[in-house]
Parts: sequence; structure tokens; C-alpha cells
Amino acid sequence: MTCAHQDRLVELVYDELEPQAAAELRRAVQDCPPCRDALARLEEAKCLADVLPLEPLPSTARETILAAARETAASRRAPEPLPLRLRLARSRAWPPLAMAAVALLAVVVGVSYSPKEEADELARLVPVPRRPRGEASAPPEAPAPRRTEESPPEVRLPERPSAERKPPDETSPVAPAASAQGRRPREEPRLSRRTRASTRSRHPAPPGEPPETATATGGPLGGSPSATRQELADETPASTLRRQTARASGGLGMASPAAVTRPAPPGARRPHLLPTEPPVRVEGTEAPAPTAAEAVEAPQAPASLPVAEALLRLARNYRARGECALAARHYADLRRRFPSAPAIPQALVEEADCRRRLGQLTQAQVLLRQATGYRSTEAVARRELRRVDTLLSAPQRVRRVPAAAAAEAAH
Amino acid sequence: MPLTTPPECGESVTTRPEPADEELLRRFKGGDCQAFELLLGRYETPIYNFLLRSVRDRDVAADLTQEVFLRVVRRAEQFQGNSKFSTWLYTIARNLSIDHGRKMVFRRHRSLDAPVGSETGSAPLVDRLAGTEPGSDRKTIAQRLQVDIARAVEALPPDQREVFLLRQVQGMPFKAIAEVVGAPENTVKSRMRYALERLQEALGDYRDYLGELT
Repeated sequence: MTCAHQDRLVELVYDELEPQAAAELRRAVQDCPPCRDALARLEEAKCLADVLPLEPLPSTARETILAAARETAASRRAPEPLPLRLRLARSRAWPPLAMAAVALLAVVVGVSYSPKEEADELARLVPVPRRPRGEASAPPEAPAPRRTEESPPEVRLPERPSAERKPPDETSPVAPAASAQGRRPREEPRLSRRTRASTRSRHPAPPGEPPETATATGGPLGGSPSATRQELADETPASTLRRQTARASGGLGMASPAAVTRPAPPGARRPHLLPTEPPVRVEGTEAPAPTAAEAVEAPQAPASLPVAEALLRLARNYRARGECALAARHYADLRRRFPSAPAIPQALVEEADCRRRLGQLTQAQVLLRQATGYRSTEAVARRELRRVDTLLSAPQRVRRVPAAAAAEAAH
Repeated sequence: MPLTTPPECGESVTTRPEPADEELLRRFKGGDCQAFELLLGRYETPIYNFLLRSVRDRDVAADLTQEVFLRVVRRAEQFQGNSKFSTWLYTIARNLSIDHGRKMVFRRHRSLDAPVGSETGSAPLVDRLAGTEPGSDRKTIAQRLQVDIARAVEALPPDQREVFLLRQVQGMPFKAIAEVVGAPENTVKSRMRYALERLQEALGDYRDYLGELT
């Protein structure tokens, strides 16, 4: 069998060729006697093979197979759908979810925590009044404080932004610059979440009224919202006198007319009064002592300025410990967040002292120049300014900053 | 879409167009026992006869057939659908058959294909074994033909026999047979041709009877 067609005879016998190819092969086989004989034998064998009997599988083996299949299918069969309540209750996703929630809560708490000292200071200065649960939004039993000449109008911390808030360019002159940079001007002091929450709970919006806005309350510290840092820097003694006059007549110096004339909402809580403690001084430092005029000028510690007061006290504590970098940072934070706070003049002088000790003479000079605009700190600021000017004009070796101070400033 | 419980094995099978083997296996993987029953009905007889002609023992063939389908049940998840289900099934059966043959060799069983005694030209043992069929005097020619064909098939060399059985009994194309046995398609065709020629030689006595068959 040497014919090339013989390799395809099997396909021809078992009909695995296309009809056209099969017909061509059959014609070719007819012309080739060996192939014709081979095809005949193969077809004969196939006819015999078709008689090959097929025996059935024994029933026992079949039942065994089916039993195994039933068992496997039952284990693979989807369970009956449970009600949603039961599915949620039996869900194995709860423990991981609970752990994730706890971890997230821990992270949030850890992030919102201030440094320990700051937190302790804030906790000490800002006691949270205890109240029964469920009265967070209800007005207290205390009657609304009457606004008299002796009782200054209530000063509230700014509420969350609301629809009543004016556009930033109308409330603050620094707003356009911030808007130009694509940022939202910050009008309310940046508080930690815990402080903000406690502040909100302590100063709830009266029922039936929308939450008060910075405009209605006269700015973050009760002053005019337009009283910015720049204005304070440009404030002249005459304007200071006008401000003090207004404060004497209306309570807070920079309260807007709207805030003055607006009666306290019914049910509003009496503001929390801050404890007045003398500032911590460090021996040997040249921080100006509070003068009598300053004592007079310093307003009664605004009851609703716990954060500003806390920042000031914190900065003073750092300064008393000699940690001038931290102190300067807190002073700057105070100036940035509460530019119209009554303690700003003194904070300027004290921050300038910190800057001078850190070798940041130029910044100290700027701060002192601002402090000279306040009557209470004018004398001290001028004296310090002369000293800083002397240092600035001195040779470089005199102004060399101690290594420790430089390291602290870098830190 | 509401979930439906797959029917239990033995429940009535609705008449539908014949689903493909792969579809039945997919349904079985989802817990449908009826799908597996359909698969078993399609392949139990070819597999059993394939193994029966390979091992030449009904009990062993039944055990091996049972093992084949139990492996399908256990390893249904491993079937990826890259090949046809029949190819996969016959690969399992062939491997089991080969393993069984190796065990028999290890236990020094006498091969049924081995010549009897030391004579090289003597007939193999399979030709001398007494059949379980009724006596030849009462057999019809057709019955004798079936017995002789079975013996002739069992006497084929293993490589030719498996190709012959896959093609003749299962009707598997040569290309699929090549996948099962792991040999080139042309080799498979050659083995098939040799097997047919052997059968034709072994059953030459029935040449006259072929006219009645055809």
C-alpha cells in the first residue's frame, strides 16, 4: 500500500471528508486497484465492527454514581435565600466592619487631638458644661440675658457657613486675594473638631431661628467683620479711642451696630466666662508688664473667646518655658485666627520678643511696629523696636543666633 | 430573578432540545443533579464498553466506569471548558485503564495477549478462554459474530484498540481522538486503519455473512 490515497481511506470509510473531497477520492480509488482493494477491506471490517455489542453498565455502578452526584449536588446547591434581616444579622462582614469602624474612629480621634499640652490647656480653659443627654439643642433653663449697659451683648463664635453669609468680598478685605488664589477666605477660627463640637453644643441656635452668622454677631470676636488684621495694623490711637468708647458704651469694642442693637435671642445661653489669670512671665525676659492703662483697656475677658484666650495662654506658657518657636507659632496662630481679639496688642509684643530671641529680627521689627499702633503697647513696643533696630544695625557677629535657638526655629 | 431549586436526581426530565455536554456540566456545578444524570445517560454505555474491551473484565470495567464518573463529580470544578467534555471524560477513562494495566503487570498477572506457553506462534490466552455466552451450538451466527468481534477487538494492540473503540463505539472524530491519546492525527488514522485490517483478517470467516448484514 504505497498509494498516497490510502492514508485518507479511513476518513472516507468513516465519512469524515467533505462531500466533494469524498467524491474525488472515490473516483481516484476506482482508478487504483490497490486502493480499491484496501477500501473494500476497510469497509468490510467496518461492517463487522458495527455488530460489536454494547453492554449496559451494571445498575449497581450506576446507582453508586448517582448517589455520589446527589450528595455533591446537594452540597453545591445554593441555600434558600434568607430574608434580608437574617442575612444582615448572619453576615460575616460585621466583625471586620466593626473593627474597621473602630480603627477609623481611633484615627479620627487621633488626628483631631491637639498636642497633649495644648489639649490639657484647652480642657482646663474651656470647661464643657455638663448637661443631660438630649438637651444639646434645647435652650437651657436660664433666662435669656438681658442686654444692658453693664452686660455686653452676647458674642458668639461664628456658626457654620449659611445662606445668610455675605460674599467673602463683602465681609473681609482679604477675601478678594484669597478668592484670587482660588481659596475660600477663612472667616471663622479654625478649631479642633472637639472644640468646635463643644462650641456648637454650648451655643446652639435658638429654636425657630436660623443659626447666627458672623455678620449678625459682628464677626468672630464680636467685632465688625471688616475689622481685619490690616485694619488693626493701621489703627491709629484715635480710632482706638473710638473703639474703646464704643466698647464702653456697647460692651465689646468692635461690635457692629447690628450686633449692638440686636437683642439676644430668647433662650440663648449666657456666655461662658473665662477665668482671668495673670499672664505667665519669665524672669529675665523683657516682656512688657501690663500697665494700668492696659488693664483698663483690656476688656472684660469676653466670655465667648475661649479658644483665643486658650491660644494666648498656651503661647505664654511656651514662652515661659523658653520654647520660643512654639510660642511664636501660637502667637501667630492667634493673630491669624482672631485678628480683632483684645489681646492682640500684647500678643504682638510678646511674639516679637520670641522672634527676637529666635533671631528673626525682621519679623520682630514688623510685629513691634504693629504694636506701636495700640495705645496700651505703644511705649513698650517702641522701646523694643529700638532694641531690635539696634540689633539689626549691629555687625553680623553680634546678631549671630545661638545654635539651640536656630535648631528650635528650624524645628 | 427568583432563585429556583435544581431538581433532584430521579425527578422527571422535561423534554427540551438536547443541551451540550458542557452546559450540562455547568448546571451540575450549580447543583443540578438532573444535568449530571443526563450526562451519565449519554456516556455510561460507551465508557463502560470502552473499559470493558480494554480490561476484559466486567467487574473491573464497572468499577473503573464508576471511578471515571466519580472523578467527574469530584473534579467538575476543574473543567475549564477549554476542550470538549467527551475528550475530558475519555482521557480520564483511558488513564484509569492504563493505570489498571500497569497494576496488573506489577502483580504479575498473565497478560491475555501473551502467547500460551513458550511457543511464540501459539494462540493467545484470550482465544482459549471459555466465554460466558450460551453454547455455540445454540447460538445464531449473529451472536457468534458478536462474540468473535468482541474477542477480536480485545485482541487488538492497546494503541489500536483504544483508537478503534473511540471511533467505532463513541463516534469520536479522529482529531478528538488525537487529543485523547496524545498522538498526531495521522498516527491515529494509521492506527485505525491497522485495527480495521486486523479485524477484517480475524473475522474472515464471516465474510459470507456480511451480505446478510448489509
